[in-house]
Amino acid sequence: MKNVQYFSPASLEEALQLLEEHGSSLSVLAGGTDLVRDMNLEFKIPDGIMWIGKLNLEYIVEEADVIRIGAGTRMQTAASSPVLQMKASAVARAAGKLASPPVRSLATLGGNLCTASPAADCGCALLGLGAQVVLTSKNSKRVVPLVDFYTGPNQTVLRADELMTEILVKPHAQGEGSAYLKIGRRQAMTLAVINATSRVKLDAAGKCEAVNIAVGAAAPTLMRVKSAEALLTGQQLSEAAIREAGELAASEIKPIDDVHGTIWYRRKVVPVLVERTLQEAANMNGGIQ
Amino acid sequence: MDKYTINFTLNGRPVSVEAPATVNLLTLLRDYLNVTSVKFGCEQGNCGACTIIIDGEAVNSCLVLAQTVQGREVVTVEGIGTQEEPHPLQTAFTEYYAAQCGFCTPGMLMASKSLLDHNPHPTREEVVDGIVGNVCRCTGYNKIIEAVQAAAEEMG
Amino acid sequence: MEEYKYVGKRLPRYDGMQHVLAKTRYINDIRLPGMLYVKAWRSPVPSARILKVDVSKAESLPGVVKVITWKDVPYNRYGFVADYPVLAEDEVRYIGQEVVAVAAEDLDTAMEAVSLIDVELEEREPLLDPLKGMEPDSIQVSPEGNFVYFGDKPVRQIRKGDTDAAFAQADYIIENYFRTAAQEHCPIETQCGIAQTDVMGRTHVYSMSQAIWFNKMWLAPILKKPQSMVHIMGGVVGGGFGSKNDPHTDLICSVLSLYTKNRPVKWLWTREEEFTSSTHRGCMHMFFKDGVMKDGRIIARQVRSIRDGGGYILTNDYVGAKHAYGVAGPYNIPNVKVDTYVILTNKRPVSSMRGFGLYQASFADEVQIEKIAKTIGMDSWKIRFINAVRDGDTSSTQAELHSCALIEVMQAAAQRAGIKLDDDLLTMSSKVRLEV
Repeated sequence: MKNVQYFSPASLEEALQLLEEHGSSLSVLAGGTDLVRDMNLEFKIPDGIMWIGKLNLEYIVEEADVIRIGAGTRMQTAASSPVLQMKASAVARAAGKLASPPVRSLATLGGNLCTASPAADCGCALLGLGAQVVLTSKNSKRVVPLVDFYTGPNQTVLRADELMTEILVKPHAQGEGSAYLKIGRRQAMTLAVINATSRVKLDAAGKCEAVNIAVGAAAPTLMRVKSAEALLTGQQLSEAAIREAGELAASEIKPIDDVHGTIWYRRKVVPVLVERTLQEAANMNGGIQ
Repeated sequence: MDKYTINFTLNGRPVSVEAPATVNLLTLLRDYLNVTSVKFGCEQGNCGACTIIIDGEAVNSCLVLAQTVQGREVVTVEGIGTQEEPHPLQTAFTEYYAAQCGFCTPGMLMASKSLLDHNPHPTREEVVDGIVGNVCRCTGYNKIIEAVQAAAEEMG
Repeated sequence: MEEYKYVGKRLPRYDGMQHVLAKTRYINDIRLPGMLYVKAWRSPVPSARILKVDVSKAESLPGVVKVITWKDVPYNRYGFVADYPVLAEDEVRYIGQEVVAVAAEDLDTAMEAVSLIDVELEEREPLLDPLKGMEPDSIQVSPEGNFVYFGDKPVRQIRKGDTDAAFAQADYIIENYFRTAAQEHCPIETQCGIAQTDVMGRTHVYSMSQAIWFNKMWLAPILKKPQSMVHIMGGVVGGGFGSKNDPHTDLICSVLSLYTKNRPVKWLWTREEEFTSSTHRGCMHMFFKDGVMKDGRIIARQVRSIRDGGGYILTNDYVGAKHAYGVAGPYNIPNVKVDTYVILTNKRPVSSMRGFGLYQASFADEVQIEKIAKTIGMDSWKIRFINAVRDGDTSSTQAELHSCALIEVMQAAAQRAGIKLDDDLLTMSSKVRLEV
């Protein structure tokens, strides 16, 4: 039986000092829905645990050009936040669809991003929203676009001495909307077999000024569907264009057969989710031509 | 083995207990504090049999590291009602046959209580969403939903 | 109209208050002084020969009180057919099969002890497909072969009339293949048991078994004791559904308790163990061939069923027999031929689950009725009414039937569902045999 040390720093300074000292032998504990579960199942018993619950990292603050979300913000807080519901709808929706209410009272957005499951709900939503993450260490602070954060399944660029402190999302402007959808084996308490996020900005004439499309459970990491984005940018968001975007998604993804779903099924379903999220995102601001 | 002291409030009473860092709250409550209402069903947050309320919110106690309960308020089924004065949910579950084997019942009650605490007049769909993290293999859920709705009405 | 005291009244659940106050005492809620905790070394592969077992490092770990292998089991066989070892001897037949069990002062010590056990296995190719298992050159799961025996036959047969002759006369031959999946009961309460042998040699077991008397009958010889020296206390089950008919913890805990100097031993299974190693319902393949007349009568039914029986026989023969009896459905079919096989495979043990072979039968035969309806162009209600058994008809096993009520039940069900049946169906009765 391993002797495990426990720390619950009361300040960010203290936390970063501990990370500096202990590095990778210290596991960061946020909500515990991944770490404590892994400990229960004996997948991983860390040498040390540092709980970040006392660092006041749960907040959602809207500023002029950015929504700052504390990395310790829990799913239930994100799901019921009027700011996120209106100005970053995809992540509010994703947070509300994760697991179940008791899990959502614990699980954090930062934890979801740092566990880096290729099927993550909030990870997909935030990737589709074009979010950035703030990675802080004792002597550094860097802002990393989420699209550059993932390096492989459950692998990120987060260093052992760094803590994710904040998530930055550009709020919907006039003419903008975002949507998130997921398909699982059940209506709730289910991993995504495929999920998708779309963020769409339409100009006054209904033409697509900017679009992000993110898909999960379809590649080694969450991914943006660049080909579909390129197709739609500068185009009228007609039904035909949206359908073509869906088809591009089906061919750009790199899914595998696993216990949750097959390559065949994922390629069949991803266009549906991409189309629906595009439509929903576009409809938040006046509809498709 | 390093042990750490945890001081918290359990069903309104202050408690103090020492435990290693790796102990989860389910184990702390059952094995260290003899609170057996909280059940072991999966220890992975999938079944909800371990659901309790911390600081007013329903959580899976198996996913809570016991140390993090320091200074907080924990409520289990033992703290919501007694035989002489049962909680309306407890009465409703009995009257509507919402419990058969009874194993999921404590967790189901805590999830339902948390739901009604936040949403005193839920629609049927909202009740379903509220208990979606609690698995029952006996009743088929309809009786549970009816009981929660009846309790909500009773509580006014 | 008489006022009834109970009929038609909403009654509170008699033990409801106990459940909602969380005062119901389940096995895992019981803690006894001096109690030890059990963990088992389980096979990581589906089929292997056991070459060597070395428990010395586990035995010398401080806090470990007893480590047992099959050699420590007084009589190492369990079940109606007694083919199941309490602890594996020279082979393992499924992933998760127990080879060694440890009782220790606490759970962490027990788990560490298990990690110190060395078992040398010679892996073998597993048999995973019961249909392949029927072929003569297949991998043999047991020394007696893969077929579970029903009396002296490797198949449970039902024979009524002459199906071949009837097929020759039928207007339609309708063939379909059905398959039901394996299922795990997944009771929210995982397997758990506590055993304690007292100074007089009497073994007391706190059991969640659904079949305490059967279990006592098997446990006593395993401990080489008369039944009077085995005392099983039970009745509180956190969900059974057939998952707790066969003992999962009680046998190993009881054997351990013989060696722990009267200290009780408790074994709680994890959810993972429940899914990988507990008894479950095996999948069933069913091949239907019906001979049907234009007027909707099914005059011949031939069913070949194959059940995936898992590693050991357990209650498979009972399930197979029950299935064979029911698979022709509650219909008056004059010519019936059923062959039900249960084939052993290298999968976790297969045994009872609510329905016992009849749920698979119902699914297949009722969907078959729908397919008949589509094929011959007749409403499926009508097909059911025409063929429903009535008083005086015989079952597929040629028992004369009385007090039939399928017709009345269907009429009442249709009414409650708001379905208007045709008048000719509404005037039918179980008391009047259908004139052919």
